Amino acid sequence: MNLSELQQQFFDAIIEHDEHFESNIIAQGELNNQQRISIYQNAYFARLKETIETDHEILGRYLGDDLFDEMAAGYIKRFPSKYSSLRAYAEHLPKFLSDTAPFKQYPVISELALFERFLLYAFDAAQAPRATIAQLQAIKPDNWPCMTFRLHPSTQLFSTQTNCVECWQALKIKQAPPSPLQQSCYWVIWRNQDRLTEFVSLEFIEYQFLQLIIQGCDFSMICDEISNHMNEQDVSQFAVNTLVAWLNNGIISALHV
Amino acid sequence: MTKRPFLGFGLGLRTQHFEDVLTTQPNVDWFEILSENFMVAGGKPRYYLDAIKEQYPLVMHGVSLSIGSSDPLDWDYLKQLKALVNHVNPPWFSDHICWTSHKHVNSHDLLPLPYTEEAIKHIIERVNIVQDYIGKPMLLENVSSYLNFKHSEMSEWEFLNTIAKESNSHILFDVNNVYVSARNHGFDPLEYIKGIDHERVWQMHLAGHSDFGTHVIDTHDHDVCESVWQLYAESLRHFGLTSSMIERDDNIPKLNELILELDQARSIAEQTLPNQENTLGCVNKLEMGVGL
Repeated sequence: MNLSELQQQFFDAIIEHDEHFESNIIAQGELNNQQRISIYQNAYFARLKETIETDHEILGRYLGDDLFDEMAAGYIKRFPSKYSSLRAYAEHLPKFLSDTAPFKQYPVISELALFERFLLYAFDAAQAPRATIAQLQAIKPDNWPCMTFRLHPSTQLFSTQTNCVECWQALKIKQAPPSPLQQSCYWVIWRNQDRLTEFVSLEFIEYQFLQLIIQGCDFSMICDEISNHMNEQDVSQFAVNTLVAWLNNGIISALHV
Repeated sequence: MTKRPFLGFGLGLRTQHFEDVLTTQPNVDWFEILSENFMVAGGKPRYYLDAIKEQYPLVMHGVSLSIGSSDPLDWDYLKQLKALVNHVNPPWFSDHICWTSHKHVNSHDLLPLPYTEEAIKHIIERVNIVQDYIGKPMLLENVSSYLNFKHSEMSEWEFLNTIAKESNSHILFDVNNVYVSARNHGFDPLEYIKGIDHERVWQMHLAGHSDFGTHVIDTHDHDVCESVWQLYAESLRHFGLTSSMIERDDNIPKLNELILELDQARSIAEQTLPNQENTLGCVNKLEMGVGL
């Protein structure tokens, strides 16, 4: 048996609990060969489960131990890790929860997992400078219409169909979560100047404002879109106030003209 | 062969201690970072990495190279590793004599290899490629194991020595792993230590484990036990003064408690090798740069 074949059998034993591998092991000491293999089987499962627990602490509180164990066992069986870092291992969890019974009956569960993934992405995102109010003030009024923006790399936009964030907030402070509700909400998540992850709810027009920034639209195009949602005379004041708030929050990384 | 650099006495850098390291500037000569934890674009880990590398020498230790895997080398991983090496500029980088992945599935475990000529040839070829690509000396660590293969043709220490010599790489000697494997397989750990080519050993790991009576598991969640301290002293006698550090990955105590444990390593080194300079951990910066 060559190295590749031996490694395949070892992996089959660890992941699939295949019994053929046992004959390759020297019998010695107080442990039998199956006990020796089970050390690796247990370590594999425990390491992946611990990763899910660490990344999805609040989801774990929401589900309780039994449902969390059922979810972890199902996910680990369905998704052997293909990552060099465990940081990304649970990235398919929101989709798994929206596709798999009994979790899929409660969309708030999948959205709760997705919200926690966004928090992780914001935490790990690249560092970048923050644009300032002074930089905005330095742009000549004639150049404002063609002004474009770059969001901080940690910025994540999140639209929800449930009250998952309210559930997350309650569980975070170890209170009972509210009953699941269907509701459309919009959120922005980012890492602030003090390296803390923040999130705030958005009005739909603010959410769209940020989406247009991501699409590369300039300020005039954004104002045109906003004008579809409010009186013409209020558009510029709203747009400037919103920009200033995001500059203060550290959501905007650069202004370009 | 390049003279062994001596960094002094170090600790594995862990998230829980980032802020304490910066604010208290503890008496630690160097830190070892877990490479994969810093292969992220930014955020808290990279912020602290940059701040701490201004104040302490850092070496890099990985767990995902999978040097013994029959899969092709993972060039995406190697590119990330090289980018981090270029950023950190460590005197060396390390990983394990093991395999972690097969057919692109990662076990996230340090799986043992059969000690065969086939495995040696395979690993030497890969170490040569990796070491050339990264451009820094590479250290390979012995792992704890819980089973032995019928296919093995030699002892673990002969396997390690041959790979290190033929690939011109070096050994990261984990004293606790030798203790764990010796208990699990019933060999004499002193025979292992005496069998190692001492000139190839550039770094030592010290750690705790969980003892289940019938077997021992390498958990890094306890203090270093007395038996491992005794093996550390034996290792120093055989290898000479070697950069040594404590690894703790679970049940992590406060930084000052780990530093007390590190002081025990200094004390053992001083008692074991009383005539050696730098035992107390004054890093000789010139020596540190020799041949690197």
